[in-house]
Amino acid sequence: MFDLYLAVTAPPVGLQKLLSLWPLWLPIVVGALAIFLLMPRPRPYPTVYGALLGLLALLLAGRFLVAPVGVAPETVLFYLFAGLAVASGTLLVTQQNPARAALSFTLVVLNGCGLFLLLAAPFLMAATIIVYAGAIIVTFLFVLMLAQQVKWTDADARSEAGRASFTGGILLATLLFVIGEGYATPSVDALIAGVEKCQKELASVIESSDKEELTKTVKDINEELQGSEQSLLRQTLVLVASHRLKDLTQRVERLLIEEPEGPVEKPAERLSKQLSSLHALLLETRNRLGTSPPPVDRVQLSNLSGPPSNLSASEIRRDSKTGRPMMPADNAAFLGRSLFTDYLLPLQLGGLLLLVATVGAVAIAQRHLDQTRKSQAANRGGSGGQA
Amino acid sequence: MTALSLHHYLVVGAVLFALGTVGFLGRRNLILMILSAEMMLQGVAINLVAFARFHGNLQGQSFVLFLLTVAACEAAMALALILMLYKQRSSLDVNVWQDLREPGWEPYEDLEPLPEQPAPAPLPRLTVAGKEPKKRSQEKSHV
Amino acid sequence: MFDAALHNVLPLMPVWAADAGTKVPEIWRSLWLIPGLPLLAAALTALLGPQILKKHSHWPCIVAVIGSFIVSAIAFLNLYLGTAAPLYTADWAWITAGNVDIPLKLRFDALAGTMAVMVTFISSCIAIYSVGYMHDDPGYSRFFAAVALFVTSMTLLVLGDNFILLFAGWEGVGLCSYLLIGFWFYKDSAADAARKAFLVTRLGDVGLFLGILLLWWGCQSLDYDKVFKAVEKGTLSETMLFAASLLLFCGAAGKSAQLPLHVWLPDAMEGPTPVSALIHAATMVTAGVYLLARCVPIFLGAPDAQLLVACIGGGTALFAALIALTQTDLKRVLAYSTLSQLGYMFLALGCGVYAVNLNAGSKDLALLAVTAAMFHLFTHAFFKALLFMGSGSVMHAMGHVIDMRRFSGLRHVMPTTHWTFLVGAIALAGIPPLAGFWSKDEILLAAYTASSQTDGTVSSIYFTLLCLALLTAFLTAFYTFRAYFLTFCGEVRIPEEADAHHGHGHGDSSHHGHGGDHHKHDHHAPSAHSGPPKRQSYESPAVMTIPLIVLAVFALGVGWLLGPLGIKAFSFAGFVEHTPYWPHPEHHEHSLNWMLMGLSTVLAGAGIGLAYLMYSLQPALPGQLAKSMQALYQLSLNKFFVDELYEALIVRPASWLAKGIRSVDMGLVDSFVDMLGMAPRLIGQIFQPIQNGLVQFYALAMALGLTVFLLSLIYKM
Repeated sequence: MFDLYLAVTAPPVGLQKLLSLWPLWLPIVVGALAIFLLMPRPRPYPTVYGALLGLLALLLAGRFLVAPVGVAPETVLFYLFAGLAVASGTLLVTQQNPARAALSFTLVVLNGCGLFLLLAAPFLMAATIIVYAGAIIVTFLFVLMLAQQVKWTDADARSEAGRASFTGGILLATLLFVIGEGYATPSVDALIAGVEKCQKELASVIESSDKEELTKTVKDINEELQGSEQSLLRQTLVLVASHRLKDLTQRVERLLIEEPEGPVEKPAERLSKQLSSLHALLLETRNRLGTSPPPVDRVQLSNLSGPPSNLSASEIRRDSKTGRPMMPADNAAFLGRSLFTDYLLPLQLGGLLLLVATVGAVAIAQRHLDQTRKSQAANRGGSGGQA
Repeated sequence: MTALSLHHYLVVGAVLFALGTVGFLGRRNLILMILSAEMMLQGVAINLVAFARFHGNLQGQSFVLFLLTVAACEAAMALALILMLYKQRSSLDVNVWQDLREPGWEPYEDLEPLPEQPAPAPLPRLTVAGKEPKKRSQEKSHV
Repeated sequence: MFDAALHNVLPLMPVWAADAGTKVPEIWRSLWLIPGLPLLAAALTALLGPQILKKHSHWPCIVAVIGSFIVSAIAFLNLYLGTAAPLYTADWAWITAGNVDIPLKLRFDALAGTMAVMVTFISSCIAIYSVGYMHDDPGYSRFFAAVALFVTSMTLLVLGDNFILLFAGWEGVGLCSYLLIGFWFYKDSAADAARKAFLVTRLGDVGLFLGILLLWWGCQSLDYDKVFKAVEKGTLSETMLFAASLLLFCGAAGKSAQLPLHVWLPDAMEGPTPVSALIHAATMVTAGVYLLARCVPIFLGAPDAQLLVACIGGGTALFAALIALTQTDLKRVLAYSTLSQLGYMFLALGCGVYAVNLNAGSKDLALLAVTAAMFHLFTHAFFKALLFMGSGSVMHAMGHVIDMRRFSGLRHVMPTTHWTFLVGAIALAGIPPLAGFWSKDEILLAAYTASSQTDGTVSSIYFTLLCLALLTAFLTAFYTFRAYFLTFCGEVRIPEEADAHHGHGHGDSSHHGHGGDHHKHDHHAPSAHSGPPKRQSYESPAVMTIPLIVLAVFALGVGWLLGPLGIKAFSFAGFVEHTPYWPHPEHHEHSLNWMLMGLSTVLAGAGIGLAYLMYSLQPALPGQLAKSMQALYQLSLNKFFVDELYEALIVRPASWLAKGIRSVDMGLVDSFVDMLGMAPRLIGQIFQPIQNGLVQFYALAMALGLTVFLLSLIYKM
């Protein structure tokens, strides 16, 4: 199943190929180094070095790891929230004072909730803030209060900086490589950019009423679209076929073999139609990269949590501009319906789990309380007996 | 103009997960270790919600709700147990608990000593009720 | 004259059919009771004895052995009054594999029947006797279980219809001998003696088994019928017959204690006296004689082997008699006399030469020889058992002191024992008309006939053996009556232990001498611990004396009644010669050589007279003779140093070899195995540092493992 996700490109072997992946590991290396410098030690390095390196790492990551897209409210917010989350995470890991670490965790949670909002999950955003930031972090702070130390102890001032940052770096590199292999869309993005360029050219030429220029541009764009070997359509076909998206392949083929019949009336309009259908197809491809095709035998799966899982991706309602599926606006109602129909059993079990955890926590604390009371009584009784 | 793809969000989730791992493996304070584990869970939550968004159904979000529940229970239990451990040895250091090592092996000990820390400032005290505070000789005001 | 009288009394005269061996055999399933009842008794006694039966542990054994005797007697009578055709039990297929077919089958023919009756009768007498002898012993039930098991094995040995059953019984009696000699196993000497007996007889058993295998190779079967038919037909070559005879004799020599495997029998006296009486006088040691008697057809084809048997038998007889001259332990004297009498039996067996190519012997001689041997076995069983039981009675009364220098004059305080012992002694010495005379005389007759019917060196060898046998007869009488006079005549002296240990445990017999070793320092003042009697009578209880009386009656009468001059109808030889496959007699008359009979009587009388002179009239004479012939005296006293020779030649090199192999095993093999054991530990030590108890280290390992897993997904390892 996994080889459906992996691209046609051969896995990197040898040092050459490893070096060719520098956009992947350079930010990670810098970030790991930053964390290594920032981790608490008995005699810590000056904070400024680590902080600057961390900033550099963040910028490099923003440039290379996540493919930069144009400026829009969504993307700006995404970069903001993501950057702040990562920065708060770094703070959490490298703070000496555990109370400050807990508060930076709050920041992580808040930024994560911002991302939830961007991902059309308002209920989850609220729930996470309430539960995590409201309850869990407060509990952490309570425990920190109960386990207070007067001075900096081994626990706070020492850390396994080298081992941890090395392992984290390796782990992250591997994770990102695997994710990238499956979900990164540079080729599709390039194709989309090419198609959009053609569309812009065509749009600009259509405005002008120069016939010769129109014909020439149309011919150029046609050439670029389906003429040469490296044409957009052919590249799309190759891409889509390599990812084994059968229905999209058929659509691309249909686009390819559509030959104009009779005199070319309004070739520009036809070209424009072709370009827009290709654009939509590419958008859909982009959103479907890394997903598994529906199973062959169509078993009726539940549709109470949204479109059933084995529905073919072309049958899902999608937003035309972005290609993403449409999510219901009243998120909480639909989430509630999903929970109480599809996931009723896990819901009940979750409630049971909460009950058990409550009882367990009280039992653990109570036992200790009994012991303390007994020891106190013994002390008092002993001293009272002697007196 | 291309929009944000699934890949972006997955990267963010992966980074948070890795940071959580670093914190879990690196810090010695028991509470900070649990906190890092919670951050790993947060990264996973972001991943799940992203998948839900890009597949168009709510399964990922339901999963995150359960994740939240479990994370809460886990944090509660972990903290209760950490308190117990703290009562045993009066330390939140994870390295004091090495007794399950191979018998006959020497325990791990820190070689570098902690630097001298200044004594914390004494907490302010109130005078005992019913007594006159000592008058300072050149007191001008009571402020 | 007697025949006519009996003819009127007994309407059923035995009709001896000439072709007794070819009659249709009868099936008698109850023959299985003969070994079966004692086996059941052994099991019962072993399982229930210590806890439940306790003091009554003797009942199963006695009842079973008497039952066995009754069944044997009935079968015997059936055989005797019938047509003397052998009785068989039905075939039970036991081992069938390929062309190996060994059934569980018992046969009761004349030879086996005689042995069975004799064995069971004497076993019952001794079992009853043991009730009194072993009275207070803590191992009471164990004793009777072992005795019952012994009776089972012995009857199986004599009644088995094939060589494998014989071998099974052979090993069984060996085992029971071991158990019973080492009955007081906490005594080192007893345990050593048991081990010695077992190992020495084992050496013989190797030869026996090889002989059986040789017979199997030649005849493809181990049934007596088939083997002997094949031998008669001439299937086996002469060399094979010679080899088989030698190997079978090897086994017999081991079990019946002939030179050079005789060393275990004197030490076997460490066991309780009933054991000595039963096993080492009457039954087990006669198994070898029975084997050779059974295998007469094989030996008939190998006259050279028979010559060897005769030489060894004669040599043993003289050898043992010479040693018995100087022993001071009453039981040892009797043990050596057993050796000597067994030598007589083998001498007889070896005289039955019949070989056409050697121009030697005749079938009459062969039959005479083997019947003489069996007759001597028969009579010897009675009077030797009687003698042993008498000595046991003495030992029981004297508090387990058996050194003859420590008591004397016991005829005044133990009358019944005295008279029965005297009867046995006269029988052993060979004075007519008691049993020993007739049987010994038959043997001398056989030797004489052998020397006269062969020629050349063989004849002179047989003649020398005859002279040796006559000399041995003289010596036998001498040492037997030496023992008698030392024990029962003279002033009455009782050792202290008799009064102190009267009725107490039998386990400690610290004064039980060890042959020649301790005699050097026991010479000086044994009488210091003996004194005049403190009681009127030291006689043993009735349960012990009644078997003595019974056996004495038999010793008195059996030789005369069953011998050549006795009642024809009861003739031993006449009955036993109907064993199948034995040479048929050509003449039915048993010739009597009056000269030999007279000569042996005179010699016996001379021996008794000399003993009377030396030990009764002039007690100082033996000491002076010993001093003047010190070398010979020491040689005899120390059993001709045979034990020491074996120790140096065989035992020490064997123990060196064993030590060498042990050190190789411990040094090489063990260290190799230890090294193999070290390997996992070393491998473990490589991985030990991973377990350092630090939680974060473990988490690190997990994270790295996850990473490796993800990488493998990429590279599809």
